[in-house]
Amino acid sequence: MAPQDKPLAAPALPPSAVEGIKTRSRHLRGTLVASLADALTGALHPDDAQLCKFHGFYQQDDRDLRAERQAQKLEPLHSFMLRVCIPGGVLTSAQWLILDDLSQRYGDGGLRITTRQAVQLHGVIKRELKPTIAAINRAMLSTLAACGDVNRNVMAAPLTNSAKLTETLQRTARDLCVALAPSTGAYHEIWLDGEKLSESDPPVSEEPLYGPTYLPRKFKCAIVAPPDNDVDVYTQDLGLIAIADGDNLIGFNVVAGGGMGRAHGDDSTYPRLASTLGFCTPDQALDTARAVLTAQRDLGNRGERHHARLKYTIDRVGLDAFRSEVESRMGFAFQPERPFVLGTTLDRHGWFELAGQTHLQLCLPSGRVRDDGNQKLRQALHELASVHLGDIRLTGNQNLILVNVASKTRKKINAIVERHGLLAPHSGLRLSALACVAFPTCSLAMAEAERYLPSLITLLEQKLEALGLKDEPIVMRMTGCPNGCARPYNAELALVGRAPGLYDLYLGGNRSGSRLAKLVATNLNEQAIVERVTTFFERFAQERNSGEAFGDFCVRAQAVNS
Amino acid sequence: MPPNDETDLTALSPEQRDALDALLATLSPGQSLLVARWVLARFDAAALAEDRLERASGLTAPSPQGLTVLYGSHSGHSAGIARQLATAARQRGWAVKLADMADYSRGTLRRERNLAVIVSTHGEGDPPESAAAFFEFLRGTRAPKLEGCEFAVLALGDKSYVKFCKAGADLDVDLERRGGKRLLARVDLDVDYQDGANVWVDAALKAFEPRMVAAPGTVAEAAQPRKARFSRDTPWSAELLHRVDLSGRGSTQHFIHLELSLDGSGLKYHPGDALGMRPENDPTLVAQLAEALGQSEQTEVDALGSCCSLAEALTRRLEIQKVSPSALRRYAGLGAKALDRILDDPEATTKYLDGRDWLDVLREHPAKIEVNQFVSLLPELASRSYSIASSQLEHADEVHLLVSRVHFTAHGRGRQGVASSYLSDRLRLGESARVWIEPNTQFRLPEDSNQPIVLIGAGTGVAPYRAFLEERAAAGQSGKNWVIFGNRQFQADFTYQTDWLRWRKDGVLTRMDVAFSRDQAQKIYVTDRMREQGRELYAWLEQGARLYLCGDRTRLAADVDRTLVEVVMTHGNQSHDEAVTYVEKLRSEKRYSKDVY
Repeated sequence: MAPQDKPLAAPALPPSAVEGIKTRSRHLRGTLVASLADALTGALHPDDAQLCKFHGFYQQDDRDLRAERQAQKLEPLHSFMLRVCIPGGVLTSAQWLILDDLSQRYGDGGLRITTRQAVQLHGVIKRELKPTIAAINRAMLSTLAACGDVNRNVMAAPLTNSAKLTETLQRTARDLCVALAPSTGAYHEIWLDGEKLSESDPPVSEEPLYGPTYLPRKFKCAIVAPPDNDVDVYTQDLGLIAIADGDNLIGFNVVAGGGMGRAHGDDSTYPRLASTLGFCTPDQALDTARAVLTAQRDLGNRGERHHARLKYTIDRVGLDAFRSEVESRMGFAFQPERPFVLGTTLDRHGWFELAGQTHLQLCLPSGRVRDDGNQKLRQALHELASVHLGDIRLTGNQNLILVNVASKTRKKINAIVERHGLLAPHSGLRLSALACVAFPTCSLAMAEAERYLPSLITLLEQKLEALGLKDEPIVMRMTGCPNGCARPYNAELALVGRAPGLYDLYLGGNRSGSRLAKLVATNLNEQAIVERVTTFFERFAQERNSGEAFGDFCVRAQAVNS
Repeated sequence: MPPNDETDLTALSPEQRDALDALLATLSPGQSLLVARWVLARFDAAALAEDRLERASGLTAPSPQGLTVLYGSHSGHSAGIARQLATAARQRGWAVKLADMADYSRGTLRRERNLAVIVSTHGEGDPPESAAAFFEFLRGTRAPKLEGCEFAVLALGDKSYVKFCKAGADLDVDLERRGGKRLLARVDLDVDYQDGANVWVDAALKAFEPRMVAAPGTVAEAAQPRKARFSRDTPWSAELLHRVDLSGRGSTQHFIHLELSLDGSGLKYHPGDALGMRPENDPTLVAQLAEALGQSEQTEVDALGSCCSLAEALTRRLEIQKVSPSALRRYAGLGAKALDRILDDPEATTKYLDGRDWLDVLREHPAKIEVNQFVSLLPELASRSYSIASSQLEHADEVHLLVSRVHFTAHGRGRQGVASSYLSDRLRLGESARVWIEPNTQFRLPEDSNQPIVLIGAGTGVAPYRAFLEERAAAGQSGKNWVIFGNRQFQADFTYQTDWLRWRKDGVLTRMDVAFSRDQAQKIYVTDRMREQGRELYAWLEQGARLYLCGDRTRLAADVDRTLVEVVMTHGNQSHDEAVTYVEKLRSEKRYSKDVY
């Protein structure tokens, strides 16, 4: 351990514009009330458009219509994406039905399951934000801190080999969400007609954990139960890897500093997998999380937002120094890491038994729940939720599990599943694929993702089928920009958008999500993507070892420089 | 008449002054007055308006010595450099205008003399989305000549893309192609642009500097032809430059914005004036009528006392959609006997004529008549008049209109308004409409540029208010402006929304209240907003505000009158009679002006 004569500090940089907005916001109040009341625009005041993220929503506009409306002397067609925090992805059927109803009443008619086990409503207009958020809270859910420079929705393994262990981990996720939530009264004041604070500055005591400027950047936590890695633990700012003995949780291996985002053309930004800090016991977990979060709060880069995530903080101060900082904040030391083995990041599909219970897992392409022509997925889930008695759990792969299906409802549920063709055979590639939202609503999107991936997969499936690889599970992910919302950089095969119709190709991540993929080619159009990827598929079909996964093959065969 | 203190003749050369003095010495007072009147009449409004133009452009448009920093930005980098340059230029005491291509007023481009441009490139060589329209404009037929304009372009881009800095390169070429002179070679910068940007900013300051300190140049505008007297009988052929349906998707109506050229006409108008226009009938309907008459369209006919083809008569000269009861009676007298039963009952006649045109009549009640007999039944095609939606301070050679396109179905056939469909559908870009100015002296901005104004309007009634705000913004008038506007849906029917937002941001539009009737179960109208904001409205009136009302005569005007009285009663603590008197007084003091139709 280095001598602590020189305490660690944040980079000495002038604060970024967003830091100024947070500082002036009086604990996230800003001028949101005035912005909501401004009838001349469907948008928020620019500062409030930053602050609203902390309240759980993003301002977006229909980019397909931008040019048309500009010519019509109309402002962009603004609407809002609302994200609902769902710790561990656990919902009751009744809550699902409420969210579904809200999407019909105030949203664009559909729901999206996110890569963090949360649910998004899209297309909510400004004057309907308040009734929507109020209704979400009445359903015992919240949007607070679903986005913004705070701890986001805490992920947890939706199922493990032990029902008791699952419950312990889920409870830990809920406790973490509560312990790391902002405590400002702004949310209640604005959305739930809570008592208004006077115009003066709020007391410091209102926000003891975060202070007036919150975190330098978003902060993501997840709890994983080996061997499954469906929460993709190495991509998190803080990961807790459960070490258990049957039903009993012994403690967690703590990893920190994962993150996907990077920027095109800027090598000082990069994806990074989380590093191991050590082991802690279950009763130390909340203190550990608080210590990591506050260390990042005080040491993170507040001058450059693209260098503000925890991963850059750890690389700047060094892992050992960061660990010491966390330990001094916790008041105890980490124990040595315990052995464990991670299997796959992929989900199951269909009916399965686990820990003496029967579950049904449904694969939802890109987590998109909506009625689309003959494919009435929204209607199907509405029917299922009306019948199913147990929980619904969402997965980090944007899928959905009906947990502990009672034997008396199985027949009804099977009938719904069959009527809607929910278990139709899909290729391994399609079942494993993830895509971010991208166009038309995401303001960061440079290329299509969710709207385009299904048709690209169709092209690739033809090649895979010809090679006898139709059922091969291959972790494939696509994003419309380099920020990495669908976690492309540790996938076996990933496409990252650069411009409309042009993508960078990454290969060589592994199924367990513990290895980064490598950049193989840049600026590929569809034809080039299919050609390049097919070349690798062909070699894989001919040269693979028995049971070898695609990403592992790419590395072994030096198809990518690893 | 000897020059007095207020008449400044120093604008004349000594020789001119001597000549004038010599002439005046020979004139009697009466003759002097005649000459003075003659000079005024000769230059009258045209000259005054031009004078006003020049004064105004001195206030807001760049002076010949000023620098305009124009940027197109997506993620804010270009905007940042633009601000850096503008700040540095202002510190040197230069007149600087900083403008975003997204809301840059196109009309001022032709007056730019010193233009520094910073623009980024995205995707496959495209400009930022918000600048795309400006790029299109610069490449289009409406782009002005830029002779006398010197420019410098800084292009931002990302070398990992194939078409590095292409948008900046394109703009650089386009500015030169329009006649601009390149003051600095274009500079292209990669993602690590800041050092290069600093160098460019310094270079740009150095390059523009000599032009900033130069003596006031003589960049006089090309001499305008003297005001011509275009009228209904001798209309100006105004080329259609631009047309767009302002109603967004999901709208139940079509508000068409048109931009017509006055270039070369010398026509001058004031905000509040109307544009007279002679519409044309639908040639399809004309062809159907000719067929129903069993005539070739080329048949010579006598229309209103002069000979022309049937097509010309029915398309451009005569009214063919509206049928009057008396014309119907004359038609029946020519052989359509079956119509007599309808004509015997006035109510039945009205009912029959509702939604029917001459084609219906000819088809339902054919009669063997001479083509000239038929033509003689038709009155002259009436001219139309539309409130002008633009100011010449902003669009010197253009006039803008807002037209509601009327389409409906009656008696099994699709129908359309003669003029609205002519302007919205049939008149093509590049073709000309027959127009003239119809002054409306009752509906003008206050003489006092400090007087607050409250502009109440619904639907297309908002058109003159766009002209008012353009004028007040361009002239830098300091009076407060309050618009109360109503339409159907916020998302699709907020007519000229981006203009209002820009004026609000610039501080020109003091406040605006909007009522969108169909956005909620309970309909909300402008009168509801007047009531809600009654206290403030009364306060403005007490501060001397002038009130305007424009829109539908039957649906809007009476309600607004009534509401105004209510507001004065409630917030002025007055009885009903007192409030009525108060509103009457506003009217007699010319502080309550209406343009209703």
